[in-house]
Amino acid sequence: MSAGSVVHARRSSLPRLMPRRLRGTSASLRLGVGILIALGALSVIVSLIGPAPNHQELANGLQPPRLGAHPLGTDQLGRDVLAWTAGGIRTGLLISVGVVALTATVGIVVGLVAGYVGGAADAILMRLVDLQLAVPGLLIFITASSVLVHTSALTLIVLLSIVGWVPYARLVRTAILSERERGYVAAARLAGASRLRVLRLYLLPATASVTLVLASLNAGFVLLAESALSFLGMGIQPPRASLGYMIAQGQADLVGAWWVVVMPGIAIVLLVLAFNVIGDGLRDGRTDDAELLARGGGR
Amino acid sequence: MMAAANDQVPLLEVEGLRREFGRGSTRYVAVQEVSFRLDAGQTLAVVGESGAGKSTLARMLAGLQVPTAGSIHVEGRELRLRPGSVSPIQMVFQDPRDALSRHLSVATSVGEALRRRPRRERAERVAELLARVGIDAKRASERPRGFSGGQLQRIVLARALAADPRVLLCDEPTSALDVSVQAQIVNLLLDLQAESGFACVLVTHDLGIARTMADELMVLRNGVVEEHGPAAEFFAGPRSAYGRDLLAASDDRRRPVTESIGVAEHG
Amino acid sequence: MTAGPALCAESVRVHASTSAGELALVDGVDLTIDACSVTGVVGETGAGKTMTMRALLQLLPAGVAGSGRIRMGDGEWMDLSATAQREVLRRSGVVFQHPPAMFDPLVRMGRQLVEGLVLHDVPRQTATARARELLARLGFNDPDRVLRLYPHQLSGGMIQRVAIAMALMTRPKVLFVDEPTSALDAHVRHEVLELLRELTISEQAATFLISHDLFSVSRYCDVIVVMYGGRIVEQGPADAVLREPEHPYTRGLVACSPTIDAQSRARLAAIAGAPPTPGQWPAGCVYAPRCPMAVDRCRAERPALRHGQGRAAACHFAALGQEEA
Repeated sequence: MSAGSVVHARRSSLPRLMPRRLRGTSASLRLGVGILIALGALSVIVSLIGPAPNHQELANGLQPPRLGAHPLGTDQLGRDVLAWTAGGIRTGLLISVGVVALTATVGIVVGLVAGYVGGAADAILMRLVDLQLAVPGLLIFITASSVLVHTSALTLIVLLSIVGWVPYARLVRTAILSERERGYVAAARLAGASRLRVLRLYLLPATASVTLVLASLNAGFVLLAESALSFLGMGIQPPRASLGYMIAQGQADLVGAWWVVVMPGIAIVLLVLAFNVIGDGLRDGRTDDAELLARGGGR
Repeated sequence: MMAAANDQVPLLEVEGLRREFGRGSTRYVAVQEVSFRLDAGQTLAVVGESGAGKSTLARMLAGLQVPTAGSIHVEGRELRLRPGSVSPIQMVFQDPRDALSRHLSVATSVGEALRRRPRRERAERVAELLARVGIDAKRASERPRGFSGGQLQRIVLARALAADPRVLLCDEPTSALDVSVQAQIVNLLLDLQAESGFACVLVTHDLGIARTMADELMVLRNGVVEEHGPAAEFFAGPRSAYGRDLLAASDDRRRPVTESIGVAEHG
Repeated sequence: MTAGPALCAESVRVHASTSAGELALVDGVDLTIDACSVTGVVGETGAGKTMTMRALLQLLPAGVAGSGRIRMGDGEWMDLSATAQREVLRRSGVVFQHPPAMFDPLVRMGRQLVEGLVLHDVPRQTATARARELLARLGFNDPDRVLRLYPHQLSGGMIQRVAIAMALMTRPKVLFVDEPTSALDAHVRHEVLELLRELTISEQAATFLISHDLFSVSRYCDVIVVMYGGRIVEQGPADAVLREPEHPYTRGLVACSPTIDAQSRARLAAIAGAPPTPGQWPAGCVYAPRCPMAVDRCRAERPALRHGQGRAAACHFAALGQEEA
């Protein structure tokens, strides 16, 4: 605390100007969402008009990509790579979105309670966080996967969520700790808002932007984790399609039949790229140059 | 213009308010012992430099911070901020942008204290309050972003009024505003107080504002009350040396440029 | 002991590119700052004070551009550009708003103070001696102790004074100071401004001092420039401008400021309305919407800055000493 200085007061008598759309942000957002929509639409269309992903035609094994029946080729067992990739995209999106939804929900709730209620609840919850961080996630997956006989999408989602909620909890808790000191929260309490109402209406929106950014970046990681698990033979297995599985299948014939590895690989790259680019777009869209100008001095 | 004072029960009675932080060797007394009484329509200005304990005092008065010792009574009843019940003490903050949620419409923020009322009645009352403070009621559904600092401070006042407060606590209500807007807000505060009769505790470092608004004045320094009495007496001639220093430093009447007040050696 | 103008600027204009189009932030400012004097540039938010300063230094944020001409001392007139910037910065010291942001929190004050000179091949000892001298003149009892401190160990008033010292290290001809006292208590404010004035005179510099606080600043200024709506509306000796303002806005500011000799519980003489948003200035006189004296002519015709008797005002009705009082 420094004697001789009041809190730096901002002279603010002017309204904020319309926010300027920095050209980068909306482009990033649009690009990312565009990729996701395109891939999603592709997978839906292929699932409707194409063969089932796991449909095997042993006689047609390892066909190179050719316009016609198998635009992206086939694997050793004659499975259509395009159909499989499309199915893998669906699975990947399902798992990613599922995990992100679950972890975000749990994490936000934990963070809100820890941050707002504080005290014993905060201490307990944060120790739980520390516990989760101490145990390596991959170890959990591998152990659990080897125990579980059949890994359905649901069990995989739950499995991947066990550790995933932690970053949300910490981020939200930090945000809440600073927000709850703000004037508008005090005013809400003075106006008779219940604790739940303060949390829901006043504090939760303040965490939305950081949570969204984390969620979009997280989705990419989850997708990679899911692919890695099925690559190792532990995650989603046939008949359900998974991008990682096909990559594993194609390893042996990589030189001769590159499409079996490369096509699902490209799909993974595009999906993760899309998530990251969305995250970038969400993060950049916050400061407005015009606002800073209106405050008189670019401060 | 003061309402007929009820000599039995003052509107606001503060007794021996004290706030300490830390323990043992790190113990720090932010507010040592503050006592005062206010009747309807009266204003107490609490002045002092930064670090004097004014903000801590304000938070205790608002019920946002529990005092280490002492009591606060409003209309004879002890002040206790319970979640879910509207407080008889409402607050106006220094930074109006900080005092309103970015995500909620002005109507929602202003109407928070009116949650119990049916929707239509609430909307009407919100419109009424906004008009009273000089904000176009048609803009009630807008977010704070599109308003200037002065307008936001008016909205904050409307929100405080919605709770029908007995005491209005103003923590540096004009420091973050331009000079020409400050005067408007001061006038609005004076008018509203004359109409509603609430008591006002004004925390400020600006003695000019204190002079314009206060009946009583209290000087705080490092948590200790240096002076306390009628404002007019203070401005005529402070009793304490510190009070005299404060007043001299705020004397911004025009003086010839060549005259200096002397440089204090610091370091 | 005047030595002529240290800085002259003409037709300074600043505009910003935003989604709302091109916004004019400063709309034609002419300035002259004399050596050994302090010029106070006073105005509210959006008046264009800081943007004017930044335009002179060509230190404008992204999306903001400035134009105009500048001349240092007896030098040639230059257009505001990168070349001009080098000339200006060479002879200037700058203290920005919010001094704590000017210092690296991880480096001791001593090192930060001498850094500029050392980078220009001045021997460290010479630079340190200069730093010590300046700190002593800025009221520090023990300059050596301050040199060893880190920024967080200094109070607000102390950091402000060290920031001024840093700006004076290179013996600048012009000193730009932006809101040096908005975050300080009253008595510290006086100290800092007093020191600024003393140093301006002793270093024979010219100081361009920005503030929103008309009264406290005017005590330490020789000349006051009042800005409103991106332009200068009044200009003149500090004392005269405050005692007898020529422009209705200055009059309004003086009248609405609560001083300690104000009447208790009486309404202040407030100016109606609010300061205009940058770039959304009305045609005609920019103050007309709030002016109690405005007539049709004011709304139609923008008043030029007229000069007379050492004063200047941009008002159709300003007397400027032409009529006998």
